Amino acid sequence: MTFPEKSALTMTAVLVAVFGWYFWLVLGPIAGAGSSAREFAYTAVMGVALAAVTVLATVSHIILAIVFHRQANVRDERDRLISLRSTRVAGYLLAAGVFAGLGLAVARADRFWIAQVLVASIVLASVVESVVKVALYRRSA
Amino acid sequence: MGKPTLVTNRITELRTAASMSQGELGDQVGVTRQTVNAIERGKYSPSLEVAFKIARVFGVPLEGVFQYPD
Repeated sequence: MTFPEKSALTMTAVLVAVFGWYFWLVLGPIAGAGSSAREFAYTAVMGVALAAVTVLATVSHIILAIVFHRQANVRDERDRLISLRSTRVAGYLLAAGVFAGLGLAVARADRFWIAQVLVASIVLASVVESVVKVALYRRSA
Repeated sequence: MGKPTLVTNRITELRTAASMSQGELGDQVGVTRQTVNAIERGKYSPSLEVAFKIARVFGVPLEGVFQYPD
């Protein structure tokens, strides 16, 4: 397994865990709260989630780089090609999410829901990018 | 990746004859062991530059390593 595959799987695990927790809280108890409490609660939870993703991604990649130090800085033409293809697929999803958010804004939807659609599209695009990357490696390995 | 390539190659044969591992060949041409494996199995077509480097490692012309059907 190449280093980018390990990195992609690690990022998927981190994103699914942290944003699984985020959406479980935000779409559950927080969505049912009153408008002003909801606004404060989801921004606080989002801040915690972003901090957690940053710390977990950094620590996990430091560990990966130490354990697999021989692979960590090796990146060849196939790695770059796979990265470009997976990023392109993720870009479509991100664009679709942004348009969905714009649609909600035009329809004067609650800011809370616009924020959730945008967060979901960013997270989904990142997860799909990693999944596509791993799939491309598996198909050509 | 994508459509399977029609390009075939003799890398496994040449590498075995030279008692060279996939990792050693990868180090010499600047790609990972996994990429060498993918090229050998016809799952990935390398760039012209990498193809020339592989041929040079074995001391044969490009068509001595890679073939394309008529």
